[in-house]
Amino acid sequence: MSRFLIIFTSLAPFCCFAWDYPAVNPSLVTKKAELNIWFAADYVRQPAFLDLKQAFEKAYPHVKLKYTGYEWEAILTKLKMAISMGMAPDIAHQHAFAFGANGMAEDLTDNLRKTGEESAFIKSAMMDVTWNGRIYGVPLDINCLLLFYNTEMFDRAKLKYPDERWTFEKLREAARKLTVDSDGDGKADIYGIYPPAHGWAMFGLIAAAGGTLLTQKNGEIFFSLDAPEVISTVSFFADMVRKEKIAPMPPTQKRQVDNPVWMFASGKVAMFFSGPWDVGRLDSEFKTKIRYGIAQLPGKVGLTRPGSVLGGGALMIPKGGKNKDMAFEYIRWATSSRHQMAMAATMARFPTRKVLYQDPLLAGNKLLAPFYVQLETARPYLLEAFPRVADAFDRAVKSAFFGEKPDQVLNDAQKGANRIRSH
Amino acid sequence: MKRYFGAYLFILPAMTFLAVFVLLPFVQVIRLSFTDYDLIEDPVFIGMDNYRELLSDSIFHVSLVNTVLYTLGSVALGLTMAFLVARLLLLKLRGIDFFRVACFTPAITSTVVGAMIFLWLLDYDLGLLNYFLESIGKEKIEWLISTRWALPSIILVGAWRGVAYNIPIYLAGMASIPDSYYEASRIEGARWYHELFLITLPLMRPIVFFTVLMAILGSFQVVAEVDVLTDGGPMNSTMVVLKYIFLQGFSYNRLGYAACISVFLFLILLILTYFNVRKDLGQGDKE
Repeated sequence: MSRFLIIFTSLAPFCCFAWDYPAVNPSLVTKKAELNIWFAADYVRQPAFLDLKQAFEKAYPHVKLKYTGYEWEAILTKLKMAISMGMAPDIAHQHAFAFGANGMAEDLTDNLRKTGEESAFIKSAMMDVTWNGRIYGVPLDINCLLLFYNTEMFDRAKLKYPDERWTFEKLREAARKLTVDSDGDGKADIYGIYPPAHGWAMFGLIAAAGGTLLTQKNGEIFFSLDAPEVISTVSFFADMVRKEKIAPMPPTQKRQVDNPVWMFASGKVAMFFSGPWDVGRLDSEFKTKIRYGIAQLPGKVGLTRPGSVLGGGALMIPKGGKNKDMAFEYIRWATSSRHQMAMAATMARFPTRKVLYQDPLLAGNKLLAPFYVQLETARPYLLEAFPRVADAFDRAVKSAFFGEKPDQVLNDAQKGANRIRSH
Repeated sequence: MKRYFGAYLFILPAMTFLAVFVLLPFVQVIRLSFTDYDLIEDPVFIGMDNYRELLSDSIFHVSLVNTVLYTLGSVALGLTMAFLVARLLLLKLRGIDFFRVACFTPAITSTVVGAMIFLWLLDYDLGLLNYFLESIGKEKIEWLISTRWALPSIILVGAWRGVAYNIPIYLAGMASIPDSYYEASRIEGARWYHELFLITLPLMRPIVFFTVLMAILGSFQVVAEVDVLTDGGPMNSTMVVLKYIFLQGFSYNRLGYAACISVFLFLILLILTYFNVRKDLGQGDKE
């Protein structure tokens, strides 16, 4: 088992059980229901979720829970189809704001306010479930984009480790020094950095540079895919690939989270951008001996607290859910302190409840300290509420890496976004 | 009618199945193609707007050209290789049964799994092929990340499946040709290429026609390989029609427009099938 998970799981008994599931709701205890719940595939068979199922079914003996796992991206499509056919599950795991924005999730504002727990969650986590002031889900776990770096490579290059004062220029300088052409063929054998080549991660860097892709004013949406900060950030990373050759060409696949961590784990890149889920993955899946550290994203010169992009997921009730009361009760259990700590301990998925970050299990983890700080400035990738615009942005970013002029492709994407907006 | 009542009764279950799962959805797709439908709100009739948009949609045009290129490449390569391998597998060698099974295995492997294997083979930095090329001092090839190589790579993967799928069909066809034909031709002094072009190919024409038709229809509906290997990139150089339909329908929630592209694709396949069948029937009549 991984070093990371050994430390976490060994502490888990002392931490997790200090927290408990919510009290049983007497008005629901005799209610009969079968709840169909869709989770991301890598969550559904985890012991934490099986324990939760067992505990919930014991507390509510007339309720039967049915878990189904789907690949995260596939949930989107399947859910849309299921809702349109009137066959939606009772609960689904996704970014609730995006479904709320498209009228596909039940409004849970009153339900959550009744519990008085709204303020118990991290502010940015609540942003992931809120659209136009209404709440469409309860945040289950949280993450954000960070910078992973290989400490041995930094030591060899006699470079200082990245810290909260790092700027984009320092990042580029380090990437240049960390790029190695060991056989002298003029091509890098070890790259300084792996570029962020998809919309979500690129938005994290844009946020770090002080930019944004979407703003809401008086309920109206304005896209800014060709804003100066957006163009300069995309150009910055595209140049690293195309001009400087200090970053590898990213693949074109939709799923972009695998290649960077594979390259990092095999010692082919010195830095890459990812979320805290890769802490567990680097240790357990790759059994890597690589020594690494985590830092906040670099920022623009003069920007004291660079932003990042928020990840994680929420539980929501798709439109047309038949067992809304019972479904919300399950959501309360799944987002309870007890279950969130179990997820942190065994899955490296981090809590959305503020108080849990004072727990020794999390507070004592020095490796993750930059993550806790970065969470405060991370923002959700709101473009996801507009799939066509998000796709246009994603393709523009990829095109920039494949040689198109960033300002031109982003300008085209912006024109497309404006057309969609007016439509 | 009375005379055939029993026969109609026998085909009723199959016809019901066909009506429910093929004809009705097909009619529904045609209906949807004239609407603006986002899965949530009710469809709104918009006349020919979707068809007008289709005519000026440059990504659709690119996807159509890519699909045609993919079809030509994968059908030609896949069927030629299948024919040649099937011929080799007819040789009476020790352990040939093992090779027959091995060559068929890709056809029963999931398309996604097959594509994942190729992902590991063709990745620029971590792929096995580039590792091999580097180890022999050659330049690495940007199999999946250059506009030059991405479509040929997808064609290669499609052909690989095509070879496996068609080998048993060709094997069965070749095995059904009596040995006496070949023996007689050899007595007359025929060489291997005479046998191939004057005996094997003419006698297998109906089978070759069937495999070509099926391969064209299958290739026009390629999507899984593209989805796994390139997601239609780089810069739409591997965008194919079915992937574009999926993108419009289920990523962008534009079911009406996706239905419109589907109808267009159906018409293309119908025309291709018509000409193919007519050509084959024409050949048959001449004989």
